[in-house]
Amino acid sequence: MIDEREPRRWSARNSEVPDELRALLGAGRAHAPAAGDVAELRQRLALRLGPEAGLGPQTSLLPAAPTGSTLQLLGRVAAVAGGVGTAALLGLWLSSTPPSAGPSSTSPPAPESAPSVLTAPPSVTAPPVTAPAVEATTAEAAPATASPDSAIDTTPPAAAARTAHTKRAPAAALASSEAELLRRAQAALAERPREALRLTAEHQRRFARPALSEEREVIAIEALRRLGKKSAAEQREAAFERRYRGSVHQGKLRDSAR
Amino acid sequence: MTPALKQPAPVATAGFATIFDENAPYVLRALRHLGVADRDLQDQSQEAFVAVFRGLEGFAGRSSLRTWIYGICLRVASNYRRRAYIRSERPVAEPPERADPSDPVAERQEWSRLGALLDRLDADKREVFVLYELEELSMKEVAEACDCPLQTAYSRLHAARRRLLEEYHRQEQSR
Repeated sequence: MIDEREPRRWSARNSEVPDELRALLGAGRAHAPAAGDVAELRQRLALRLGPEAGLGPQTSLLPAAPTGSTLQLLGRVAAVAGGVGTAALLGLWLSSTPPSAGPSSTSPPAPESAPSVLTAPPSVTAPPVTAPAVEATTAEAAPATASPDSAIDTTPPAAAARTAHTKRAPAAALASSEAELLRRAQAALAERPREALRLTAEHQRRFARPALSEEREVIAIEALRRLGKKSAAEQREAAFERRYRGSVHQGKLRDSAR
Repeated sequence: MTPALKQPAPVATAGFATIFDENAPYVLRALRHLGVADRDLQDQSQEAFVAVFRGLEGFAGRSSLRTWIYGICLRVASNYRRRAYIRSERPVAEPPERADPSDPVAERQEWSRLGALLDRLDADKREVFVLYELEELSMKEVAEACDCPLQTAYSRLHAARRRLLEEYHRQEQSR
């Protein structure tokens, strides 16, 4: 949208800014996030929002180089193993909600104040866009504002410290088997919580540097709750919150404890 | 040059996945320019898109979708900065931490300098400056995203430019 009355942008060659500053701004404008960053964001959202968001694995955007986080590791797994890792992970979180449960601790968590996106997905068939108006933002901002206020945890993500230190090829196999093990744990959770707990313990023994430790802990905590071991569940949840500050699973864990 | 947030397909036909695919790179970039540290960029971008997902139903289309999304980015970044301030952390004034080997050193240095300059701006002026000069929105869109009168947006842009030039020259003299 160009308005001749608007101030001349600093990107214009004949603007008054020094060339070096204009170059800095040009670099900022030209900055394009790495494909791996977009892929990681997509996968994290898929986990958090569930299938209603329609964010399936998108292998074409997967990163080519390791960057260290859990989901990027799984992205690479998918790239290396033909999508197995991503499919397993997504399957783990998106396809098997325990039938007897109220809120499942293993579903992607939603912020406390927001409606559950798993049970009441918003329609994307909103009224057609009409001509923009200046006064529009306040009313439209309301739901969005409420969500970040309750959901944002700006604590540096624990993921940054949980670097996947594995080499690429072994990482593919490990993450795949990790996801499979936790998928089994998740499947057992509703009716056989003891078995689910055993599988999470097995995961803890087998994987010294797990990519899915947060997910394991979520399953384990829920299994303890279902077994009536309230104190143990609370202790483990407290440890989870200390270790994984800023985890996207914290909200859901709190919800499920109620 | 990477274009600003794309004008997405009409909301009536665009699913969330389409909106994400069209806008994710620009949300990541905008949040970075708005002061979100690299280490927190994934989390904050996620919050922005969760807000988009949950807000789509209530989005009445009185502003363009891209302006609305930028507005969400502003609020997410504002919330982020506020919390970072409470923790007495400086959210951005540090070199990028991304360990991406494909990230050229020069690009990181440029970003580091640009980020340091932007950090010198007040939040409201930074928002206007980023949206106009870096994301290349029109001033009318900037005012919509910032939820302020158009004239206020002009004033903030003017003040931001003046402050940025001062800071740039100050840094140049100290180099």
